[in-house]
Amino acid sequence: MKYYERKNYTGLLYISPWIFGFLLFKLYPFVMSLVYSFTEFNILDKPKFIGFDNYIYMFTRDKLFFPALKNTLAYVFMTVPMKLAFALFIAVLLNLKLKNINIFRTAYYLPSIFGGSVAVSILWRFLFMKEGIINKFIGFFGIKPVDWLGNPDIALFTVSLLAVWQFGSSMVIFLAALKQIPNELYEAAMVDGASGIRRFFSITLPMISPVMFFNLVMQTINAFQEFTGPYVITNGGPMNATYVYSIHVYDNAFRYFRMGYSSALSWILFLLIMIFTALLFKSSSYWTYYEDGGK
Amino acid sequence: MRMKKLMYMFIAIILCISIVAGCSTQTDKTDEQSEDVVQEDISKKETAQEDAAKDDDKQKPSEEVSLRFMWWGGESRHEATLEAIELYQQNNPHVKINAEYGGVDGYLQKLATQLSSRTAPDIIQIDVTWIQELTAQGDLFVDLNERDEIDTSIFSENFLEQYCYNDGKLIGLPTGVNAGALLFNKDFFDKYSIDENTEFNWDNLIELETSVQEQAPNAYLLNLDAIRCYYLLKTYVIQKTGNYWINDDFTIGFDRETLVEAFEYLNELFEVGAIEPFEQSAPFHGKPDQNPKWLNGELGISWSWTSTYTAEKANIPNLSVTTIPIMEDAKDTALVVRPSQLLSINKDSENIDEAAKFINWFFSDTEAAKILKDTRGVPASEVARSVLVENNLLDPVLDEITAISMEKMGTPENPISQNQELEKITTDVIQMMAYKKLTPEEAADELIDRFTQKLSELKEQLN
Repeated sequence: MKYYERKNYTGLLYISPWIFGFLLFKLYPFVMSLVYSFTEFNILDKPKFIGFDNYIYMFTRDKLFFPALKNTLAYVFMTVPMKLAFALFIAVLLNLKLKNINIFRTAYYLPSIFGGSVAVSILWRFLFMKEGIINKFIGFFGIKPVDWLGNPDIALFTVSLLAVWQFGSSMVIFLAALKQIPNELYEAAMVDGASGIRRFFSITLPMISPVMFFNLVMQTINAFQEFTGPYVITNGGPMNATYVYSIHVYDNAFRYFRMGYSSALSWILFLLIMIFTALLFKSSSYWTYYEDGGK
Repeated sequence: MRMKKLMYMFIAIILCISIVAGCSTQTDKTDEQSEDVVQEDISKKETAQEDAAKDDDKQKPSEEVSLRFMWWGGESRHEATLEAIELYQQNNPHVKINAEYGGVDGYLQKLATQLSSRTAPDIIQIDVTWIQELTAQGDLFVDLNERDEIDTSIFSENFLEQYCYNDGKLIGLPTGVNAGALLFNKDFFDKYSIDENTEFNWDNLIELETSVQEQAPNAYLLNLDAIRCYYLLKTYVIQKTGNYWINDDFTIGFDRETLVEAFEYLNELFEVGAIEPFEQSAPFHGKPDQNPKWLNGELGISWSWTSTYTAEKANIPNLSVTTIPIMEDAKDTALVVRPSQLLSINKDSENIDEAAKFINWFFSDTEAAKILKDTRGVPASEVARSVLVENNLLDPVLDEITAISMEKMGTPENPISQNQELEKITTDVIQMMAYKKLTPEEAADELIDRFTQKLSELKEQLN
């Protein structure tokens, strides 16, 4: 008994930096934001308790709440499938047994390292502006320049491309999963005369479905919280077309100094993400396949 | 084998596409870095000299003091300020000044957090628009009138009274004079044969554009994003009414008719092509000075501030400046002339005396003035300004426009007129009109409608 106890303490000691960070930088803000969401708070004044007023205001009078929510949902439904499809596509390519394939694997991961940086977002602005490289490029094919960022109907799509471009982390996970698929399955299928496409849909997809599920959940959660891209590239415009939920949270917190209201907004986002994740988990039993039956 | 080769080619091509983007980030990054707040202990270099000085001095210098000085700005302001600090430290070896500087993004947020946690620096650069918000939270700044170290007579008394007092206390001193102004590109004017001495008014802006459009349909006279359009709209309305934009009692300071007229005028600017369409300029919303068309001289005039003139002139060599359009029968010029920023002393500072001495030196020393030049706008301190004029360190056009603006100065805006939520509402409505979702009449109704709701909320909250 004593031996085990001592072992536990050592373990705890090892993870104490993480625990400390978690308590201070995650749990404390998490709990406090819930507390603040029931108050009116502008950082400098003492918070004033106002019950559920923030939540009531959100659903009844805030003119930007529903548009922002709609934009975020559109963003999620656009980004996540595109990103996963693209990541899987590249992963399949990089799974081929070619010489020096590792160089490509590394290179394709690079965009994810540049990741959410502001510099890349600024770059996006210059790529997609009216006189930008993209318009020059499509000009070669005689296509008229498109207002990628200035047209309210397509601005959100353009911004979501930035997230799609950062497919690296999902891709690496897909790649690992692809490597795990036993070759016998393909060999057996080929003996039976299954085509490449058939093999992909009947073997590859089911075999990687648990990983697909993991990526889907992670990317959905990320997409709901997207901020940097829409904020830096288009600043929520034009006509609020890219005014996503987290910009609304930011504006209320740091532009209008309504910390209480902003916390309430964050908690609604949190609940929303929780519901979506729960739905995904529920649905997963219908489409994920585990060799051991998922036990 | 062939298959494999093709595969390689394919992968390589896709790779190139994604890498092209990746490589070019480097150049952009340098720009961005200047906005990251850096902390630098300039005094490090000095320590050695300082120690030596200490031993020599018969009269032992007073105990070593360290001050923190925080400001925001661009590269040239940072360099000049750091140089001035260094000079001050040489003259006053017992003082160490830690500079905390960066871009304006996030500055107020940081300051508010520091003030509430009592970790704010000793000397703080603040903006006049924050005074009410900040002082409402308590007594945060030293009353500079009570400090004998500071000579306030070098500032225009009227200017101090209008902007620097709160509750009878002088809470900051103005670094520079900043006036609303039109910056224009002389190259553009030459190209479309516009006289550069034109005094702009509301009518000739439209006439000029008509002639520009005849010569080149892709050249636009004005570089305005939705926020600058808001300034224009507000100016137009105030010149008509002579009122505050929003009254102190949270009521709207104009009638529907005037607003409709202002929106119609703005709409006309869009219709004749005087403003670059938002479809094109959207990526530069909030940063029109970065619009490549403006930098390349394809846009003629930017509605801006005199304080940005020097920085923008670095990018556009033939830039000049003039006053904003003013109606002949304007009830108020609505010309905003205000301190570029204020320097204040934190009430929680442990070295208020030394901080006050530094501030006084900062504003009244001729050497300091020569180093700082106009990096905070045309200096508000008369001493500093005359030093610059004598030494030809001040752009004469800028000096002249600043002097004219001081004369034509409109009534300073009250805080509620500068409210950020009202700004968001207006820029939203302006965009809807620019994208032809609303007519000017509908835009006016929409704006009044949303303002009324928001103002009743704000009234509840702020009272």
